[in-house]
Amino acid sequence: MASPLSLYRRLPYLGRRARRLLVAGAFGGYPLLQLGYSLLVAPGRLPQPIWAPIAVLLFSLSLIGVFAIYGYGQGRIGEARGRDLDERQRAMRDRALVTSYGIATTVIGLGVAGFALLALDKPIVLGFGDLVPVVIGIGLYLPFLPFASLAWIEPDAPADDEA
Amino acid sequence: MAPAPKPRADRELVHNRLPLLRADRGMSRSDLAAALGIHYQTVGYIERGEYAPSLHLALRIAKLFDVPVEAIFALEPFGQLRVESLLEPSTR
Repeated sequence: MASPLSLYRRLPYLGRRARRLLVAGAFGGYPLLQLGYSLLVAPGRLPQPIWAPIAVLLFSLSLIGVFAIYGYGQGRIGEARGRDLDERQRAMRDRALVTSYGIATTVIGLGVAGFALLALDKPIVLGFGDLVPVVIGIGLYLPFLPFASLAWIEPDAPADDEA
Repeated sequence: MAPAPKPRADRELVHNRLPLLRADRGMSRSDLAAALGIHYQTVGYIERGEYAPSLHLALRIAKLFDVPVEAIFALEPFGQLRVESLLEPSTR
């Protein structure tokens, strides 16, 4: 059976489909957890004992996805340790950074616009409890966004691409 | 209805004879990558036309094979041509 270390070392060679599934899992798990809690558990539509394993599953999905994405991105950069990235690798890294900047800007912009629209009707008071999911979300996702962009956009190396 | 825009790979496609030259010199992708100081996968991406090299890299590749850069890279597909016909008689 493969050891965790050997599995981690295989992460940089994941195919694009697997990488995109991991990105979707990483970035879908935690928001779904918050959404499910707000829509189902908080109003009392779903008992907490039923929700608990689903919540653990969704959070695990996010953690595993983020870990795998980090392993992928780190591995791609790690391949070039001891020498500079070549021009294609630099171009890919720059595209990933530009994409992640665009995503972060869009999400922040939409969030601020959404709050502004809601605040037109009545003042919004945010307590610490309301901000905790946002802080966790930022801490969980923002540092890994460039790696996630790289994992999403980098094309597969074809099968005949032996060294 | 307006035609769908071509994907980036098509718009910026650069045709090349890199596999032909590499095979002629008996070089693997790793050998060529090591000679140029780039990743071996980058050689593969260039050969398949999925990455257009910079002018600097294209000139270095041409220098390495001792042929003009336009003998390796072109905007139009290459016809059937033997690599010997690219070389000057003195370099054969």
